[in-house]
Amino acid sequence: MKFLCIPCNEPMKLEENGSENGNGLNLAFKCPKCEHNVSMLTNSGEAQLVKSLGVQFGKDKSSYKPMATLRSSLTQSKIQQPILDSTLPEPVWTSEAEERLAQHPKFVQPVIRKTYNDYARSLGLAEITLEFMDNAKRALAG
Amino acid sequence: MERKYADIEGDGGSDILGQVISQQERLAERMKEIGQVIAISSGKGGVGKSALTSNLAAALADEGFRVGALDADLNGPTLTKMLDARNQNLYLKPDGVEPAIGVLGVKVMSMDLFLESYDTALSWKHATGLAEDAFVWRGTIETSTIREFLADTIWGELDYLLVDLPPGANHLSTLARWIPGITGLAVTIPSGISQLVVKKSVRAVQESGGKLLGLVENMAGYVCPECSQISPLFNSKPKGQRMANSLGLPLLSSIPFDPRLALGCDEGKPLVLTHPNSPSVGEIKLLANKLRELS
Repeated sequence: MKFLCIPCNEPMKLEENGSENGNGLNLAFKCPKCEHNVSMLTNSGEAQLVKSLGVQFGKDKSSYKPMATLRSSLTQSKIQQPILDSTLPEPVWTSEAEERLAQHPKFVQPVIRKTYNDYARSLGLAEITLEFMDNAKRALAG
Repeated sequence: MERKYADIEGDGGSDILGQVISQQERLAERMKEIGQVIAISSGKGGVGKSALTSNLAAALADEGFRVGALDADLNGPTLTKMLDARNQNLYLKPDGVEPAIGVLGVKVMSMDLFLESYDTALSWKHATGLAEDAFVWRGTIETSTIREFLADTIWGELDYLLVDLPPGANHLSTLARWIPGITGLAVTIPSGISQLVVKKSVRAVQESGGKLLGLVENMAGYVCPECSQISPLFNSKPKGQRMANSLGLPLLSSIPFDPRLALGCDEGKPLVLTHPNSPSVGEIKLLANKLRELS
């Protein structure tokens, strides 16, 4: 979408970025030559259609956030709970904990490992020990 | 002189095009780490796409391949259950979201992992405040979500990413615009209705330039769990070969239905891992081998 200043034959520039007017958009464009201003007003349906593409008018493309469209668009979600900002590394497993894990069938071991890792990370713990596994089992069994 | 859209450089500051290009670049960058992206598709629902996807993922992982499984059926997600990847946290990092981990370490991304509970219906916030308007943009936001699943999941290095598509004719063509190397399997069953619908969807993919590796005929007979004898499941004999010939595709596999497969799907234990001697598993493993040869 582009706007042309007819008297100047100049493309207009976005001046104000997507300030919301109700649920629609109010975008201001300005001719760089004669400084004439125009506003583009959208209704809420038009604004929704653009948002559904995962883009915003005037948004800086460097402001990337993973799965931003999905995370901002679900009506009912557990996003706040399960998606955790995490800088914590994967917990380290002691050799005893690894031995206990190895007693499970091979194909479920990755799932069990992930379950314990998730629980440890949620508590800010960096090590999986036998004691932790016992406690986690009780806690997760609820 | 009147100027046309293309005569004006730039986009007036909206940077919509820049954002779209940036989305595509992120997706291409993520896909660089993945050997083969294979979509499991069908024009018809209920033909066993998800059961096939989960068992194929397990069969490939059991062979030592690094496998991811993307559940692109946003409204009826099932892969987290079938691959035992439920109730896991997703971790948000600056470069993406860590996927859930299923059996044999298969990396799984699914709408199931985002919804409040497993029986929560998918519903989107909308600016209009009118739920009846949703049909206008729902398809767009769901397509955007699948793009985000592909591009924003930290898949890491994979040999195979299997994409379980919802029923329909156009999904593979959409994915092919984003992932030029993607290929697909078309799944059908021996019912006349299914074959009618699947033929249409295969032709739609072919006409749009999508690449199908071949046809898979699922439920091609019934496996007796006691004696492994195979008897007809539908009144008609399997017609997969004839259908494949008419579509110019190879018939890659005819997989008989083993009732233990359904139980395994419910319990998150793919049949290929629990009953390796089932005739169904034999066919699924052969299919996995063919995919390796075709890759």
